[in-house]
Amino acid sequence: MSDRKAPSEADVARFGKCAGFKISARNQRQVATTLRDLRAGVMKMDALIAEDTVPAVIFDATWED
Amino acid sequence: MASSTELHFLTIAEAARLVKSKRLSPVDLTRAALDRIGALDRRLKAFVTLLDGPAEKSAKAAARNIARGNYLGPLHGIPVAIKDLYDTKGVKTTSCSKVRANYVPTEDATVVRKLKEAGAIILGKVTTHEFAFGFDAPPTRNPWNVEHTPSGSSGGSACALAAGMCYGATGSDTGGSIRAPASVNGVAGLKPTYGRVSKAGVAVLSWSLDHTGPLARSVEDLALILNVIAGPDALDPTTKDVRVPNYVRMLTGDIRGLRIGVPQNYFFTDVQKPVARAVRRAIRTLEGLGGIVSAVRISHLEHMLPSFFSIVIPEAAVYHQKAFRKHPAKYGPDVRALLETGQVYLASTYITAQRNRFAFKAAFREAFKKVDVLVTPSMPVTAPKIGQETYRFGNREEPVFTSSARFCCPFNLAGLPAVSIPCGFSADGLPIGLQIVGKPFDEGTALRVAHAYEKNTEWHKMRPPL
Repeated sequence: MSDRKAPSEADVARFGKCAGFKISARNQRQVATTLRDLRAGVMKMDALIAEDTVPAVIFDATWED
Repeated sequence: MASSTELHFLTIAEAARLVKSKRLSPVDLTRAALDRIGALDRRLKAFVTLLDGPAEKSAKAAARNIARGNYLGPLHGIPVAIKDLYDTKGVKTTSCSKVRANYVPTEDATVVRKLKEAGAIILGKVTTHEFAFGFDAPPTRNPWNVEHTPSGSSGGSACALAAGMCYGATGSDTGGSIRAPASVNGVAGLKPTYGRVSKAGVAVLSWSLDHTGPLARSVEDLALILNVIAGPDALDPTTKDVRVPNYVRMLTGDIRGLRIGVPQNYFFTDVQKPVARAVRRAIRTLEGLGGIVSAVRISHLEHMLPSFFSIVIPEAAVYHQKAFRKHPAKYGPDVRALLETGQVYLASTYITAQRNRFAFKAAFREAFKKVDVLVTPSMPVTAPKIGQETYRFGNREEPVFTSSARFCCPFNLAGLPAVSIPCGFSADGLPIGLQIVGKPFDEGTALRVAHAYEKNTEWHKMRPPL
């Protein structure tokens, strides 16, 4: 998916099909823009952090991890 | 607005002293809360399920036990409200959703069990946004102005406290759901460190962001409740076995020499003027009390919100997966749209957000090398009107959802303890909140600063014009 172009409503319907779930027609546009906007925001930050950063898969609030 | 010392507006600490010395019966205290609910809740709509009969029965039992010399501690005989997200044995727990309209748990959530064991009286269940997935708690109203929302998702808890309908309450906080309603209702709310308080028996919004904690009318009351509910729990693998201090003893009133960091970036951008003024004034007060105030910068915060939403949306979608696929129409339209988004969220976006989270945490760790607490506004705004969709900051319009989350959710991502306390009012009489953030598992210092501020100001004594 491009960071700039939102998936189309048809794309979103297909994503739903892949996940075995029907995205309601009235929400397809909103889902598409949310997917695009949030991914773009996340990737902006990703560009700023060190390559070797690991994901906080199981989150632990202590400083040590 | 007027100061008040009526029975229904006693703090837990005040009521507990009277109950312990047998000058006030838990029966009278419970009656005062129930009378207040009877008088106001038709208008404010904070309670989903009222347990008046069981509460009076529990109050009589507490009175008998105290009379026999079996006083359990400061919560004994104190009436509290439970957010409807928390399981309550034998009592309907709906999460304010049609999906769980008839759900009656067979066990109490750990926090509820601990409150009962400490002798607290459960008055009833209070509203949440559906499954805590939003910054509102319909149909609840803000007691300071019923045309405004109480925010959310723990809006019922904060409303009930502000209106004098209970003495303490439970909340949950995934991106600000304790602190935002505390802020806009003029009460105190604490999101403890991730792992400090059990979430067992509380409906999940996001496993890695959810926190449970108390709301109350004073910082001392938050400490009293935290003393009871904190600690590891075998039923919640995310809790940590870290020593639980006596939080009340940490409220010394003395913050001389304590290093108070004020972030220079992010937390004072796009803030309503009365909010910024009130928070700046509060910082000067803390400095006047001997706190050493310094400016800090916390990197990457401007990029934080997309990562926050990229974690909460797919985690919520997974928690609801089975029920949602079976009964999508039972969910409200806003929650349904978010859950549908989560169903098709890219794993790569989620994991990238979790990597970003590590970087945010590192940024806070760096900041906390130089300071003991951070002080920020709890929210950039006061309570929105019912139905309001956006706030305006100059030429920029921002959804209420984002405005409500953006100063609170950094501390959900970092898992840090954060308390919101009242620090002023807007010209139209709406409360403003001050946020004080501590190091991991150092709720005590954050509460100490909040308590020192509270002791030297009157904001927490203001009552809504009901």
